Amino acid sequence: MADMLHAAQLGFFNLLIPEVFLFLVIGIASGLFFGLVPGLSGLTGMGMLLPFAIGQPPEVAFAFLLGMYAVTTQADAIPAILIGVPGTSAAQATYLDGYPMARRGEAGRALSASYFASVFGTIVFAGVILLILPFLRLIIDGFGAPEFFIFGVFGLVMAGSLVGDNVLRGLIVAAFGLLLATVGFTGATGEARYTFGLVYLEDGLPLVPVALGLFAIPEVVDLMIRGSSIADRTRGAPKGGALAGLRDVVVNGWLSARAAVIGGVCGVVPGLGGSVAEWLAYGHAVQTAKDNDRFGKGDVRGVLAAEASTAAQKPGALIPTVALGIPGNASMALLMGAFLIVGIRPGQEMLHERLPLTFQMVWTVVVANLIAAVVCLILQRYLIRLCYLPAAIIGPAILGFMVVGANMATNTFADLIVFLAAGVVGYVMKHTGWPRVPLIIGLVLGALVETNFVITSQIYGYSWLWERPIVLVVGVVCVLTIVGGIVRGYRKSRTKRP
Amino acid sequence: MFSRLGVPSHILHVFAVLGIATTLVALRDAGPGGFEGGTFAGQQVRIVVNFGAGGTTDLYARTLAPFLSKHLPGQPVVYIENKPGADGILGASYAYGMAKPDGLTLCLCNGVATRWATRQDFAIDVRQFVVLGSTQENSILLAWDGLNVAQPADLSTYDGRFLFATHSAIAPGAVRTRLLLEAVGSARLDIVGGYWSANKSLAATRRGETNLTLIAPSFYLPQADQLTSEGGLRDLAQLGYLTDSGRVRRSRDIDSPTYDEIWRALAPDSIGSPAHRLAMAFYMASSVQRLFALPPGTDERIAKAWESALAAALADPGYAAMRKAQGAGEIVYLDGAKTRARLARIMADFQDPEVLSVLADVAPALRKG
Repeated sequence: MADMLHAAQLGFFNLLIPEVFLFLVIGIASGLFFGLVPGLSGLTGMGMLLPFAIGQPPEVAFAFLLGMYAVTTQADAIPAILIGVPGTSAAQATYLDGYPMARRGEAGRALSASYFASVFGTIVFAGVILLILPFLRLIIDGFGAPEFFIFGVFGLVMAGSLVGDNVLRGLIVAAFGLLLATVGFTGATGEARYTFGLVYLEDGLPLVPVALGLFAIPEVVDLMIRGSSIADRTRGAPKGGALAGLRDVVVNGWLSARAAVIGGVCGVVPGLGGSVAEWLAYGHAVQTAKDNDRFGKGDVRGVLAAEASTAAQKPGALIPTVALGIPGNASMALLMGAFLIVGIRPGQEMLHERLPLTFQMVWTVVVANLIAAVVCLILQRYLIRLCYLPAAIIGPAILGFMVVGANMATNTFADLIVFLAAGVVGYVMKHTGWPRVPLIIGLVLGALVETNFVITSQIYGYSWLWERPIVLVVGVVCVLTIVGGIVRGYRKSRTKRP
Repeated sequence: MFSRLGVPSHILHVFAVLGIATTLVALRDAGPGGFEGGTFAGQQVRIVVNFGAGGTTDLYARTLAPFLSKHLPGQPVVYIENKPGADGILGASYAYGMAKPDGLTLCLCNGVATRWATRQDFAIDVRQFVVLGSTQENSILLAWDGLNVAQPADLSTYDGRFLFATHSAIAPGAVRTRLLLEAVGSARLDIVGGYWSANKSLAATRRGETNLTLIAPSFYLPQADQLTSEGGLRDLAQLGYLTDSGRVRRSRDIDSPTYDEIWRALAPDSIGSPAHRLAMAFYMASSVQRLFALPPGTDERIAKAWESALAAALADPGYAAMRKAQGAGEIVYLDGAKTRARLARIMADFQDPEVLSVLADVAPALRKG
């Protein structure tokens, strides 16, 4: 234990070496950019920055790369909250409560809550890592195709049943998202489905233009028709809200901690991803709250749970990469490439001889989140003014920004067509009371669900249905969630009747 | 006029922005450039990579880019532009049909030769590119320890079920493994597609969910010890490299036998059969796996400058040192003439009706186009 504490201390002091710290700051600035610009992501950033890390000492290279990677999810909450455009699938739940808060003039509070929840989430899970390290292999090996499938279904059920008042509509939209996810090649047979002979569709519908079109176009059109600003000006001048957000995290510390553990464990298991983490945490927040009527309408607890879990997912994904050489996600696969380039072999060496470096990486994620939160808080008073700009200025600006983001999917005109088509669908859905979030979650999780279902059937036949405890438990929770949602909806409809 | 029709001016703003953005996208590729005075000085040269940022092809391109910049006349800025989609076809189609043949766009087209030869929906003729050269790719067959297949000879006697993890049921590596196992009379092979990355295939095989997978040396070599000693895997075979004489040789980095060696040792009677000819056709296609190509119609003078720069970059000691540091293993380069000759052979090999018939049997989806 003393060795471990000494290594943790060394790792922290390594981070304070001027050269290392400078690269960390550059990494953070890049990460904020990659998170903020729709269409870019931590993965893109990792790919782009990797060559700059080559040739640097490991301490510098990883401060740089992880500094960038750690803060992208913090930054992607900003457009989701301020302008109602969640550019990534991992910001969907944040949008659900963050944007309504911004519209009623609480953008500052929502943003501040999201930053502090991110910092809190990473700190909590950095501590949890020490506890789960001995069981890491067990956790990872406990997840096979059947578990991935059932967790994917769980994410869909959560998104479908917790968004909006009508569970049935939510689930129908989630199923429609699943259907859209079947476009393109399927790995099981190698055959193309619903591509209509278009090469563009062979990889499936790209997420970014669909997500941006679905949310940005309806918001902008409504904004232009209203001719007002995003936030209601009659509720007073823009407020910073930094302290209010911090207070929310403190008051809901236990919820944020639980969300962090959920997100972190999802990060540890390679392949589960940010969407599952976010929806598991969000669902947990809704189901454990005594007063859950305001979720989806601007409840800060929704923002806290979503952000704490997605932030904690980052150190979670880092650990199996470092300790076992099993990357937690695509960005971590790239990071593993960086390990190899600088001559480091992931595995036991990282838990013994190079333990200070391992700790430095965990510290990097924590410190980067902290610095990014401070930077964002300083900029906050200016950022939230976006919500108060006249529609004639902010509307076209958002749209221009989103067009550029949408076009980054494949850099072809087809991206713009998909963006526009998704916009029309989104507009219709918004104005006919159909929730849009489950559609995106269906599209994101569709590949995970379908692929793992096919693999499971191929390898295990039917035995997985009763032989895998995780499948059984999560399956029961899925059913209870759906039934609970239907009962809740039924009760609401009865109380509305005269 | 529009306001007279009752269209709100705010809505007009939206359409104006959309119009401007669309025009900018359309005009993005326009503009001056080229190889003025035999130099690229002051120009920006891009490498179009037909897979996404962060993948092995992307990393390969990013590692090579500074050395291409160093050896191109005028030392232009070389940057990477990822055009992923449709298993690499979108990027290749872009370089083929839309990029200007001005020498400022190079396509690093991974896997297009195999797809061109095996699929019916491939709309471009790879031979029409101005081909500068290519590099061969090897792959390692890893087996799960619990499989009790200690050596390649055990492949033919094992009576269990092989589960091969791959991203797609029609991935060339999966098809080639099926051909080999069928030739040596081994047990049932189920190709389990849907593991979208090498990591996922590897993870599934490590935990025993599947028991075979094929991965690139650049991925395997740096962590070979860990995968084999702690990871419960063993390297059973490799695809190997096709030599100029038409034989297949082992990599300098890995000692396991090649698919071709196993085939010859365990099924000598089927050498020259349509199935074996198909296996060799795959060897030919994968021997030009990473194709360096300029858009069709690029001036010969520009092509020569590029070909020299590419050869010099690949031979640069700095590049070799970087590859070594990455633990990426051997690289086998074919110049433009050899690559073009092999491209001509590939289509002929795959057009043999007997070979096509075997291909339709082992991978029906490929021939559906």
